[in-house]
This record gives sequence, C-alpha cells and structure tokens, in this order.
Amino acid sequence: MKSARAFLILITAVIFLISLQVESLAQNQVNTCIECHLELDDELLDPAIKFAEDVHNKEGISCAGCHGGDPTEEDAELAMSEKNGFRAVPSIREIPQFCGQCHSDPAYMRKYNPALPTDQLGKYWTSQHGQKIKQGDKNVAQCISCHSVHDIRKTSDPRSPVYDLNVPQTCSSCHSDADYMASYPIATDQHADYQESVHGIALLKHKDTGAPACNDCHGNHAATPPGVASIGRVCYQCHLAEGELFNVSPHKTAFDDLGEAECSSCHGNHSIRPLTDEQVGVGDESLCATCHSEDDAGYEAAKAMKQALVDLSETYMEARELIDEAERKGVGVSDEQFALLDVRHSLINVRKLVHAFNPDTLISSAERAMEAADEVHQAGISAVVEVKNRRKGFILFTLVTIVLMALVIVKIKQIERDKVK
Amino acid sequence: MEGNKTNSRRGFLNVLLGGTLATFFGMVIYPVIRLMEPPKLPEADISSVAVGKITDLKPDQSKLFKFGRQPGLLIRTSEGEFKAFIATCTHLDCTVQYRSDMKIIWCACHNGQYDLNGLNVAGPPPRPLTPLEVHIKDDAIFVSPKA
Amino acid sequence: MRGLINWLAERYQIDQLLSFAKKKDVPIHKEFVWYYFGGIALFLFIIQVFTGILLLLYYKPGADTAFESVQFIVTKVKYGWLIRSIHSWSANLMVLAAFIHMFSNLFARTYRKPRELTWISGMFLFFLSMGFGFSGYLLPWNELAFFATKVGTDIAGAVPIIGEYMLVFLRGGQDVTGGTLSRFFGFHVAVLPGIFTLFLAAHLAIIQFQGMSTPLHLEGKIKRKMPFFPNFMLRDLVVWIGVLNVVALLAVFFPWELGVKADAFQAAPAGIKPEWYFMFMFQTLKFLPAEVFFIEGELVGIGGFSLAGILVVLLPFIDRKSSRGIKHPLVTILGVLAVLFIIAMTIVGYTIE
Repeated sequence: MKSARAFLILITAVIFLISLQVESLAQNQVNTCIECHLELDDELLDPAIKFAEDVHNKEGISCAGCHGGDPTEEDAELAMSEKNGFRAVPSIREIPQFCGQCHSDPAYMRKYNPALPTDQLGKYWTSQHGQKIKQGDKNVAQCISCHSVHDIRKTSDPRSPVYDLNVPQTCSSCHSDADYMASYPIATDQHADYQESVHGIALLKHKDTGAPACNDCHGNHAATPPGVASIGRVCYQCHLAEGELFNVSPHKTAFDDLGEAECSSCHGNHSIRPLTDEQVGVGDESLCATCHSEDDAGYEAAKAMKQALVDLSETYMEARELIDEAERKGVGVSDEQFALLDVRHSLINVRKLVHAFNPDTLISSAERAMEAADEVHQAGISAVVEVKNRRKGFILFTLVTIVLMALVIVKIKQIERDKVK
Repeated sequence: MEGNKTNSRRGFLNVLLGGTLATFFGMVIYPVIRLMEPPKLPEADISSVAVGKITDLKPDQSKLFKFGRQPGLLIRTSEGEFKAFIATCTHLDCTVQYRSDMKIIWCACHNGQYDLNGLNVAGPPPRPLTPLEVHIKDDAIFVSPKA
Repeated sequence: MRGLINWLAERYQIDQLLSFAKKKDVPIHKEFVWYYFGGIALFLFIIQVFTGILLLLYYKPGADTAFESVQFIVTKVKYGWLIRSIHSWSANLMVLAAFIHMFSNLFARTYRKPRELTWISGMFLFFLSMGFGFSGYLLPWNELAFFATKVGTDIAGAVPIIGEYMLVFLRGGQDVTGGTLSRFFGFHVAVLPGIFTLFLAAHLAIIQFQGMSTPLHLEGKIKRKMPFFPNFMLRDLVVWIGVLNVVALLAVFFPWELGVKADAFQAAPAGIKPEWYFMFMFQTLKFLPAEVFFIEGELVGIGGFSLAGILVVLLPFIDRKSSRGIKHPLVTILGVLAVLFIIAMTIVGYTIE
C-alpha cells in the first residue's frame, strides 16, 4: 500500500517536472532581446517596438539573425557576448555588407523569397552612393537610408518609404536639403521640378504607379544619372514608339555626332511639362527653333509638321466640342463619341510621328487621320443641327398649339353666346 | 341677313378649328409613327457582336471592332486560336494593338505590354485587360462579355 | 358626322349615353380653377399609357439589356428620345397634378358625404401613382435608380414583422438584382396598370353619377352652373393642349438624362436621391434621431407616415363635421402644415448635402 502510494507520488513528481521542462522550453521561444529592450529607453527601446512590423520578423528572422548573440540567454552580458557571435550596431560604412551577407546569397534568400533579386549589393557598389561610401563618405545613402531599419517593409507595402508613391519623398529627404547637399556639386531642385512635371503629377496627384519615380530613370540600387549615352534608353522604357522613330530619324546621327543627349536635349529632364503642338514648328514656344533657323531645311520641315498637327488637332477639338454640346442638349451621340476616340488615337500617333523628323510621313498620316476627323466633325455638325431641328419642330408645334387653343376658346365663347340668346 | 352672316362666320370657324385640330393631331401622331418604324439596327444588343468571318483573319492577325461604347480587339494567334479583349489599356485609356513581331498586346502610348491572355506583363498598366468571350458559329465570329 | 351619329343612334341607345354625359354640371365660382387638376392628372395618365406602350416596343428588361435598350431608344429609334423624355416628364407632372388635386379637394372638404368613396378611390390612385413612379424609376437600370431602389426597399425592410417579407417581395430576393428589375417591370406595365384602371374607372364613374362637388364654404352661394359637356370639356381640352405643350417643351429643352449604367459592385455614388415626391419622406427619415422614446427613429418615421396615410384615406369618416356643413379648422391647419412640411423637406432634401 505504502509503496503504491510512494509510486504515485513519484509519478506525479515526474509529470510535474516534465511539465516544468516543457514550460521552460516554451519560454525559450520568447526573445530575450526584445524583452530586455522593451525595458530600456529611447534608441535602445525603439528597435524593440518597431521590429514587430518588420518583414524579417514576420519571416521568422529575429534580432540575432542580423546582430548575432544568443536570444535565449537571460543574462544580458552573456547574450551579447562576442562568444555568442554578437555584433553590435554596424557603422554606416559596414551597413551595405551587413545586409548583403544574406541578401547577396541566393542560396540563403531562396529559403525566404526566391523571387527577390540578390544583386543589390553588387549594383550598389556601382552607384554614386556606393562609390562615395567606399571613399569613406558617411553622408551618402546606404540600405537603411531608403528602406528604413527595424521596421523594414516589402516595397509593395504602401507604408514602405520605397513604395512607388513614396520614392520621390524618400530621395528628396536628402537631395532637396541644400545644407545637407552643400558639399556635393549637384542641384537640389529636382524634387520641386519633378512635382510639377507631367510625371510627378501623374504619380503623386493621380496616384498612377505606372508613372516614373526617381528610381525608374536613375535606377535604385545602382542609382546614377543616366548620362548622355543612356538617356534615350531610359525614356524608351515607356516611350518606345518615340524611340523607335527617333532611332531611324536624321536626328539620331546628328545628335550622336554632336554628343547631344537624346530626349532631354529638347524635353528637359526633371521638369518635363505636358507637351503642346506649339512646341513643334517655329513659334515662340518652339523646341525646334532652338537649333534650327530660318535658312535651313529643318526649319521648313518643322513648320510643315506643325501645320499638319495643328490642322488635325483643331478639327478634333472642334468635333469634340460639337459632339459634347449635342450630348448636353440631349442628342444621343454614342457612335460619334466612339468615332471621336479613334480620331484621338490617330492624333496621338501623329504627334508621336514628330520624332521621325520626316515631314512626309507625318503629313501623309495626318492627312489620313484628317479624313476620319472630318467625318466626325461632320457628324458633330449634324448632331448640333439635330438639336436645332428639334427645337424648331417644337416651336412649330407650339404655334399650332396656340392657334388651336385660341380657336377652341373662340368656339367656347360662341357656344355660350348662343346659349344666352 | 344677320343670321346668314353669323352662320357663315360659324362655318368658317368650324373649318378653321377642324383644320387646326387635324394639323395638331398630325403633329402628335407623326413622331409616334416614326417611332414605330423599324430602326436600322434591329435591337440594342451588345450581348454579342458579330465581328466578321473566320476567313477575315489569318493566324497572327488582329482586328479592332466596336463593342458597345468601347473598342474591342480580336486576335487570331499564330496557333489559330481566337482571343478577344476590351482594347482599352488599363493604364491611361489608349487603345491597345496586337504586335505580331513580339506576340504581345501592346499599348503605343507608354509601352504597356500584355500577354495573349490579357495579363499585364510589362510597363505601366496596373491591371490585366478585360477579356471577352469568342463564339464561332459556322464561319462567323461573335464576341460577347465574359459571363 | 351627323350621319354617323344617326347610324349609331338607330342601333344603340346613344342618346342615353349622351344624356348621361350631359347630365353633369360644373358650379361656377371663384375657386373654379382647381377643377382642372383632376383632368390634368387624367390627361397625363393617358399620355403615360400611350408613351409607355410605345416604349414597350423597344425596351428590354434585364440587367444586361435594360440600360442598353433605353440608350438604344434615345439614340437609334426615331423620336425615341422624345417619347422617352415625355414619359419621364409626364410621370412627374402627373404626380404633381395629383398632389394639387388632392390638397385642393382636402381644403374644399369635397370628401364629405356623399363623396367618401370618390376620395378613397382617389387616394388609392395617388398611392398607385407613387408605385408607378417607384417601379418605373428603376427600369432604365442606371446608377442613381439602382441605389435609390436599394435605399427605398431598405426602408420598406425596416418595418417591424412584415418588413423582411416586404423587402424580399419587392426585390424578388435579398438584393437588388436583375430579378428585381424583372419584377418592377411586371409591376409597372401589368400589375399596377390593371389595378389603376379599375380604381380610375370607379373614380370617374362616381364623379359622373354624382356630378361635380362644391367647396364646403361656397355651398349655397353658387349662382351659376355650366354644363360639363361641352362647355367644361372644351375648357379641359384647352388646358390639356397647353399641358401637352409644356410636356413637349420640357422634353425638348430638358431631355431626361439617362446617366450611367448601374453596377452592383460599385460603391454607391454621392448624391443618391429618390424621385422628388419621395424626397420629403426620405429627408425626414434622415433627420430623425437614432432613437425616439426607446423606439428606433426610422421606425417612428415609417410608422408616422403610415399612420398619416391611413388617416388621410379615412378622412371622410374622421371629419364628421364637414358632412353636417361645418368646416373644422383643424383639417385646414393640418393640411396647411402638411403642405408646408412637404415643401420644406423637399427643398431641404435638394439643398443639404
């Protein structure tokens, strides 16, 4: 009996001990770095709070994943000892290598995000930032300048500083700061220019993430000005049609010979504004006239192209106004609107054709488009005439109505006069 | 004499009244009769649009057509398969085209590219193209919205 | 003409019919003008019947076709724009004429004995007109109508006990779908016209039997009368011709907009408004606090309007004094307040965002 009881007690004790052990195992999962740092202040507290949202944390990489040390160790000294592989805060110069130890390792990265490129570090060393940092410049951007630290998010996360819509702001935090940039020989007005540009408005105002931010032209990890040699290539990423035309145009060789940059020589860079037909031709706003003068062939070509463009766009605008007017006044013009869409596309294409710098191709295309435009214009006129006809019809009807009402009234009077008699 | 005069005045009024009344009714009835006249297109139906004959398109060719208020793009792939999409680029509203040299659907405005399933694969477009259903009856091609 | 009448008279008792038509007199007095409004409402209803039938030639109910077919009517069908626009304008003017007709009779106490049933049938015609308006509003399947119908049926759904059933009954399911459109189409072109015709026939027959009424306060002061046929009818004719012209004017110069096609997956656009004649109720419900005496505010509103409706229908039996020739001031006061309330709330509904 007694022995049975002792046995029971023993069993219970064993179970208790095992359960204690399990509990302490569970406790081991708790990160002592975070636990301790949550008790600290300021910059020692900050990472512990932020890290909850960090993409690395979400993937299961803890503080030790980057900083080394032993997160299971209760004792702070031991946890952050060199023996445990602890690496304290890396210096600014060390940061690229610090991140790169994992991010440049395809075999390692495959375990987390196989789709993520691993060439960032290599590219970074080619960038202006990377070259400067190698020379010991601590003010240039490295990984955390743009990606933030301890709360790093995926670039597709709208809260990330390098999310499409946030890139201009992120770059400008240094590049628009005149004091900060004082020791570098570059301007600080790019962001201001960009904000007002056609690209800046598309991205920042219309939230069109297809529109280019800084990195789309300058590269991101390999950020560097595209330079004369590659600027065309940069623009052709989106403006391919213009590029294809330009590359076989007489300007291509001329620009190459002169060492002129493609695209930007006429259109500028950060401050590109929406284009108008006035920028073709030889008027005050003309871009052509900056190089071409009255006695050369280009001058005449510019003039001819502009005329064709203006004719087409005026016809288009007039047709659109007519059709809109008719629609406002109640005439159904869905077919006309559809035809108008076609003309609009022809107009866009003819405008692109300017980049061939060949008046013959442009004019013949413009003439073809003009036929359709004239047709729509005619339809617009008929639609407006239809409005007028409806109103005329109504006025005629009103006249008959008034006469009829008057005659019935006379008739009533007559009947009532007869009654009295 | 008096009576005669009023009588003729009355007769005149009646004729005038009758004439005006007839004109009035004519003007009311006219639009009604015109309305009942069968219109050129027999019905309002974009549930399916006849786009043409199979023989109109060789493999690796395409064709734009009107689909309701929007442009549609019909493509015959090099394998001979028919595909149709709303041809409005999902970036800005340019009309896309088939580029047989690249075997993609391409938007000339900003070099947006879609594969032949309409998926946006490169450039600024944020979304795939809206696909349409292609039906072939005898040798005629009909396109309708995807159910 | 005379020959035709003789021909008919030899075969049918046409003289009896004529004498039935002629037997009615119209009292002449200073408030004569209000007699026209019933006729105007009737005329506009006739326009609705004719234009409605014409639209039926091309309209196709269904979520995929309704909007397109109305667009087709206004763009491709000759004079389709005119007929469709007239149908929309005339519908609104008809409700307006019915409002005026109703209140003029209310203030004149013409519902008093022996015309109780004229009043009640008229009230039913009024409610049916609103039903026509509500069901017809959805038929073009545009965005505003879609969401207004959603909101309108939601309000019906807030009624206790039977609300849920009513909502499902009206929508033909839990949501406003193509199914709702089919039902509303059925209500609009078959169910309601059938019922409406019965009430209208009763309403007109009773009036013809009993003759035109006299406002209570002018009773005994009528010195002259005018035969309804042809004297008043010709006057009616003049007014009707004028009304047709006004409708045409509105249709030509202010064509009824079609808007954009309804998309159930889109968020409700700003500025969802019901038809103007529902606006005062809609706005009142919006103004009511969430709770009134521990009852949900919306319920109080719905209950209040229902009660008011029932009271108005039963007015001839509630206002006993009018039958004894006494004009109860409370009816006038409440009537004026109701008119002011409706006007004020409608204006507020259109001005406050």
